[in-house]
Amino acid sequence: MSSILKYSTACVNKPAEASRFLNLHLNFVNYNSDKTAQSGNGDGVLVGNKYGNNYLLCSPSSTGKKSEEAIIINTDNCLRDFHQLKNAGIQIVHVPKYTTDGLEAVFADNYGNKYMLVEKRDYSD
Amino acid sequence: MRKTQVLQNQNKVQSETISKVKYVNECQEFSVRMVFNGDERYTIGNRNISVYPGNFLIINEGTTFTSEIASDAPVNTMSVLYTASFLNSFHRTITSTDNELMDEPFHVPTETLPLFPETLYPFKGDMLFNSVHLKNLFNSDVNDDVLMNEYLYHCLLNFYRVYQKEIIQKSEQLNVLKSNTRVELFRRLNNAKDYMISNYNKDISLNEICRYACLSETHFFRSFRQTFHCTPHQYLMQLRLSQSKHMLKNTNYEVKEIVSIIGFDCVSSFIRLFKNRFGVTPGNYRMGFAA
Repeated sequence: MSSILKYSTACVNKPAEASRFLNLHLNFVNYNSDKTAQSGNGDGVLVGNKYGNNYLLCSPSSTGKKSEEAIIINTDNCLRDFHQLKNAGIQIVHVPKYTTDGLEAVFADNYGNKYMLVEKRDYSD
Repeated sequence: MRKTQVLQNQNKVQSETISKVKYVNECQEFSVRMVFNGDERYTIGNRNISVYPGNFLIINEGTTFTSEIASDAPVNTMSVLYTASFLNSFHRTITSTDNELMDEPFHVPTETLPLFPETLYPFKGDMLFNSVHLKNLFNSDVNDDVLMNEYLYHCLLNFYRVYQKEIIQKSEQLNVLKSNTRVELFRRLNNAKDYMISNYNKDISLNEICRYACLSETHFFRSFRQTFHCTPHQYLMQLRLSQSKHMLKNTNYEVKEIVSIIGFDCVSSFIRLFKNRFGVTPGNYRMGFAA
């Protein structure tokens, strides 16, 4: 059995803060040691969602500049999660909009990291 | 038992899972009516319309109708009802420019809303995804008025898109110069389409459909192709195959039982048509969901 974990890398402003944001608002859990997660010293922080199908390595931006690209967070219900984030007072960048792949919304944390909530929908049926 | 949730803005969601029941109603609000399994039969005036999982029905405010579930097996239905003031406000928001909305933010429009055709619309895409989310929230213990309202707003937004595609764009495809004639012809074609959907599993003839639509066979055949880009026979086959797909995915019926339910005579011709249309045999399609 393969023990390889597939994850995507997101270059963020402050990895520890980004992972904390994901822990707090999107029920992600950290897979690194607590020390690495809390240090905020530039090390990457690996986080995963509760379903075990969405892993992200929040890594510090090599240029030290704020990344303009949003971190993609997959969800099974964009409207519900968007509503929860809005209620929590999170900064909304754009409200849910329909795309050819499904529904997506963008929000940001206090450190300038952007997160795109994506609900992929199969329109082939 | 029917469960109803009334939101603060008086929009409503109703749902029940029930067998053998008949209601007589006057619709007090504009409503979107859907089923998630089985079928519900509506009578509006002299029209009988069956709502299956692949379609939803629109009923306008003030329309009197009866609805009936005839089967012994329980049918899960859901209706979303919008007040006239909400519908007016929504309509103005999406049909006005930002400038108009900012110049006159509290303007109450005097013109009436479009009278949406009380016909069957395809229940798929975003309308289906959002309705399923709404149903799940409704059936859960979470009582969140704002989230419920968000779903209702998006369902209406999705409906407006379906309306634009299924009514406005399709009626414009008819080669008829006079606007009134086009509207009437499209209404009759929609009646024919509803008749075909409602009786998809029966042995219906072209002559029967034309009589229902009050159109000659040649006129009906030509106009139907212009509007729906297929012949009435092809449309009927598509309906049967779509229903079979739904049953393969959501029921435990054997393939031969499904063939019989959807009105096919021959299992092998069904399998061939299914494979031609979807690129996979019925058995393999079902196994894809079982895996």
